[in-house]
Amino acid sequence: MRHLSESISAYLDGELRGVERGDFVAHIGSCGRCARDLEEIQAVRTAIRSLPVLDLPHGLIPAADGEDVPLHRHRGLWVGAAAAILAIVVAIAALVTPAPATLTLDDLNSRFGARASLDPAFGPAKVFAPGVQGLSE
Amino acid sequence: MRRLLVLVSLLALAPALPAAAAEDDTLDQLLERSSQSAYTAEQTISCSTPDGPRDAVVRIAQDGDQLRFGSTADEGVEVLAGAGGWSVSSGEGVISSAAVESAGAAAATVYEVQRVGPIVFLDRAAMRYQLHRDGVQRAEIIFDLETGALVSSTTFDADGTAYCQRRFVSFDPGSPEFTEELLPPADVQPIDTGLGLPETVAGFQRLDQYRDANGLRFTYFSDGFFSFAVFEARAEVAVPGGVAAAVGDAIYHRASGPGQVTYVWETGSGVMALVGDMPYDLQEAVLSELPPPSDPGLFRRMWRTLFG
Amino acid sequence: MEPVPLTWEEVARVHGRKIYNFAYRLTGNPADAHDLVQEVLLRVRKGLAGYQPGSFEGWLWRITRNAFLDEVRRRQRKPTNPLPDELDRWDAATSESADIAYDRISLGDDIQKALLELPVEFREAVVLCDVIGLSYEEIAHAVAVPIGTVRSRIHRGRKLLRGLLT
Repeated sequence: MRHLSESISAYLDGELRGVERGDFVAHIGSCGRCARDLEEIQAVRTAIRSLPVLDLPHGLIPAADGEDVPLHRHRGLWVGAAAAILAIVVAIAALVTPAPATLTLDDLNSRFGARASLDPAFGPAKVFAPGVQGLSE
Repeated sequence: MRRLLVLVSLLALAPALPAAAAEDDTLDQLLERSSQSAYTAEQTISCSTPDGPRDAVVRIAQDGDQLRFGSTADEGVEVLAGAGGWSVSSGEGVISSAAVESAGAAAATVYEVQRVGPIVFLDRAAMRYQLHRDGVQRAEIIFDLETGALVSSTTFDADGTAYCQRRFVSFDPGSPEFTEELLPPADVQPIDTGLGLPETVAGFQRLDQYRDANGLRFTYFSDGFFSFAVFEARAEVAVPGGVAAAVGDAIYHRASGPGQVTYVWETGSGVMALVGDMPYDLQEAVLSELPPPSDPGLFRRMWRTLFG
Repeated sequence: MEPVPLTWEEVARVHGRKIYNFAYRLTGNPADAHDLVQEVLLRVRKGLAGYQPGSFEGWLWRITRNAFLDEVRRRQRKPTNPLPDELDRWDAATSESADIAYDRISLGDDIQKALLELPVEFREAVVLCDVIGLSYEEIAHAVAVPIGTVRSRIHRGRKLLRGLLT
């Protein structure tokens, strides 16, 4: 496919539809180079989407101070952690690969839960509740 | 193609199964049948953790070696595991996925298995077993006899009090008929070298390790029943609802969830995290064998700064 | 057709943060972003009277990027003024609490630096898609190019970033 490589971004952005999408997915299945490109582009895309949303500097738009309008409709992996967030701040010596600015509990829990569930024998003993911290209050 | 969910069963081909379970079935046979069961169910998870009670309800569907589950509280977030990998998706699409052709399984289990006897569960015939580790009962598990499904599982602290209980509260045998999945790009890859962790930690065996496109790495351990993952990241970790917990003589940041606990701390080279489903004393044993927090004093100072 | 905000204050309140984030990611520094936001709001104020109902956001983004491009051209005419995409103008303003014992290096800095090295039309396409969250169609409308061009610019922008970030 002549324009396949550009379709990679469109696919990741959900902009491929119907036959074009089906063809693309089928192609990825048999083209190692395109699959590697897909992985690399996804890494970049995730990195940019992880940039923090900046607050308006106070006073720039007085009418908007105090407003909290959601910016990015695709922001974040897990929408809804409205509780106060405790952050661990870390000094990083060197950045080797693009990494998300902040990991959430769900990033960790979902990987553990998914891997643990790979063994179907004990599967039901390993499942977890995605996005739920289960705080009883 | 590695990028696809390879339809490879993780288990060796099983011999033909008897038509129905018998009292003298071994745990291995029951686990084998469990890994071929097909049903849709709702499971409650109820845990008593040092940080308080933690509860959740999960929707589960299993079709042989594929397991799909999602929280009933958070519509749309779902995990599909088995048949060569896993994927985590929300209403907007796949968030993360991995292609795993063969995941490790604990070679020798540290557990002694005792059959307790038949029991009625959800008006169905079932069989109850207990698992003991170092002479201490650690789990009671119940298998539905007709389907082989693991319908209940209770785990215990060292002193015998219940830690987490998982029970099916609704159960529909029969194939859930998973719909055709569009192949997601795999951002999590199995890797050969992990975080440099030992092969065994507190009786848990190191099985495999993974790395995702963003550089987050984790190593997975299992003792044959409980399991945990150790993560390493060069990023901040936001942990809502957590507490500063003293374990041994170090301070970690802990968030207890329904069914698993998460510890986060810093070492000299980045942020480490532990996610596992084992009870507290085993958490402590594992943490004591992992790289410790690099400067517990600094963490305490930072904690006071952030939270007063 | 969505309801059109009646006053520029409403525009500012609802869209201000988006415009600021767009401006910041495109210019790489708070001062330029600040100026750009004010310029955009000024033009919105002037243009609201003549606004023809259609896609409000599309109209808003056209104004925003035109304001940005006008500034870029203005600086190009004055060689002594550094272009917004020159690195020595970039200034990662962070304010740290003195109590926190160690420095925090923002991982976003490397990405921001790399963004500034992209040609402007790639940079704005990537920012509108990945920071602001517009669809390709919305970007095509805002930037007044065909969707195919949007797709190409986003992809080439990301590929360039990939090369810059490793």
